[in-house]
Amino acid sequence: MPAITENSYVPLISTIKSVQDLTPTEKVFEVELPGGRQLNHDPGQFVQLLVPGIGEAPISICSSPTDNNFHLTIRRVGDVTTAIHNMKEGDKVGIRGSFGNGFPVEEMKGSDVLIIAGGIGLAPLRSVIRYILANRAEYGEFTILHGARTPSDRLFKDELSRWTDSSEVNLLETVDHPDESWSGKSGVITTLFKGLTVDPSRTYALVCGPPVMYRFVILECLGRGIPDKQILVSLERHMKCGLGKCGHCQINGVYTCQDGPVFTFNQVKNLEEAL
Amino acid sequence: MKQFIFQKSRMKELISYLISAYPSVYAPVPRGKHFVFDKIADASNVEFKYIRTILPPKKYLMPQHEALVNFTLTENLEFKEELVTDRQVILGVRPGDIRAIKLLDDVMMNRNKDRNYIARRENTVIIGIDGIPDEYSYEDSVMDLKVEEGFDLFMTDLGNMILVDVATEEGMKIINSIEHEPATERYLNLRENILNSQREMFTARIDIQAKLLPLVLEGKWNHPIWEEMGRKCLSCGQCILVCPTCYCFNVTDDMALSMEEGTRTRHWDGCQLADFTLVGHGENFRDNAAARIRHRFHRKFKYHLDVFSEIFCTGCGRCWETCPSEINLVEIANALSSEEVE
Repeated sequence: MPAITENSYVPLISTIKSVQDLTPTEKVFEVELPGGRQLNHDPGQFVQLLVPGIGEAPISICSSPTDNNFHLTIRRVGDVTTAIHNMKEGDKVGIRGSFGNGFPVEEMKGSDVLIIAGGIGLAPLRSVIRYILANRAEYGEFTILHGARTPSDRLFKDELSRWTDSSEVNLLETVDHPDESWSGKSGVITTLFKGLTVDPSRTYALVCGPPVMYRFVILECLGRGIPDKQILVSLERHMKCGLGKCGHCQINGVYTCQDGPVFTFNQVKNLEEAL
Repeated sequence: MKQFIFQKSRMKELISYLISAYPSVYAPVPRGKHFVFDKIADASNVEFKYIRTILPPKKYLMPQHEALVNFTLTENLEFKEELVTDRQVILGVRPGDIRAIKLLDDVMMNRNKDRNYIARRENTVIIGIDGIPDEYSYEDSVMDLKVEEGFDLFMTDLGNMILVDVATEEGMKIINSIEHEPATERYLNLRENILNSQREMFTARIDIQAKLLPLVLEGKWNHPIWEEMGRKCLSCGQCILVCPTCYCFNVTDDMALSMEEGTRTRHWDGCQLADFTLVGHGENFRDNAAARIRHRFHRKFKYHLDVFSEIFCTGCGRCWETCPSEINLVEIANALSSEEVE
């Protein structure tokens, strides 16, 4: 973890550079650190976002370290996220981090990558997707399975269209509840595995989505012979301090904020409370 | 470590010296039927013959509500760490509480150092004293009553005399404030006899060596004891609030009435409270009391043992005495380990 402030609870005062609406409840915030500092995060890490006077929330970084500044996709669910939804370009926020381990993008080089993203799980995975696209030649087959509740819940619609048209990535999508605007597939995300061929020994599967999704998706991956240590899950917990102390994010003996949020299936299959 | 003895009648003199030499001296004093650590102004109210205090002395190193960082929200948004460096003495600390502070030191002063804790800790003098157990105490099952570190001075009551272990230079300076002499072999032997008789006094015991509990816990994830205790638990969180080795917390940003400045405050929090693992969209990863009790037990006797090689329970009995449902870790440990024998 790059220590960017001396006292762990003092945030770096940062500036919102842009705000983009994704859906009625989700926005992307571009954040700039002070003095030209770079976050230098690993794809899959998170920051503690502070709205001054309101409080902090752990938010995954949805941009690649190869992007300019960094981006946070934020769903409006609580005090902090509602407060930041009311903020605009030029407003100040506090940033602590980045925290956690991120995805093993170095180890994955030369391998095939299968991304399985459900709902807002696309946000942390987008950091890896953009990283791989920026270093495309270093990775093998690149497939994204993406599921959303409804067509209007799809995040990054423009980018999804670009990925659909791109020869650099194979994007397969489904929605749970289609409407008249949707001509694609419908059904839960595991239906996208039908007809999917993978070379299991050289494939890394990266999974993030709602808690209910993991077991079913992991079973599909295991059924295709992908080794335990190449199935990577990013887990959501209530990271409060980011320092492996406050206890909120603890899964058995493991602190998600420090030892995760990315785990191999090998690691979590014996953690009783993980999935 | 050096050992000295002094006349017990000199204790008031010693306490007066501490009060004159340090801005704050905290010691056990009676509060209703109980005892608490409180700031003392003179020696008259101090009571060393107590079993346990309601809250452990942890509150002077990591207060229930602690300002970590102050901030202003005017033109210039500014954050400044709030370090408390006032000198303080905690007097009359039992061996279990000394060990608990040592464990907190391991957590807070090593990986990801906590500057707020370290500032208080480095300005704290700890003076321990021996004591006797009651029916809720089980120190003897989880630790050695003879503590060797984590204090400046440790006193053992020998009757008319006090035997004192001096572990630091500051401790030596304090002892030099009163008349004392080197402890002879006779007094050291007397202390061993007292320790041995104290070890005999425990009625609550964990039936197996506590460091073996991680092995006992294997395959017990779905043991009926968790459900049984879960049905009794009110999730009130008293057990974790009185625990000397619990350190889980929440951090809130609290605004002053001016709405121009505020404080990032750390508050005690804990894994037995129902909302502890709740996340934004409503998922709660330990949403029932049985799972929470199982987590607490594993934290005390397995998870932290794996990382710090220490049991994170001192056997002080506070959680047991305070629990409205009489849930206690000894009963759970013995229920789990009894099957090993069968």
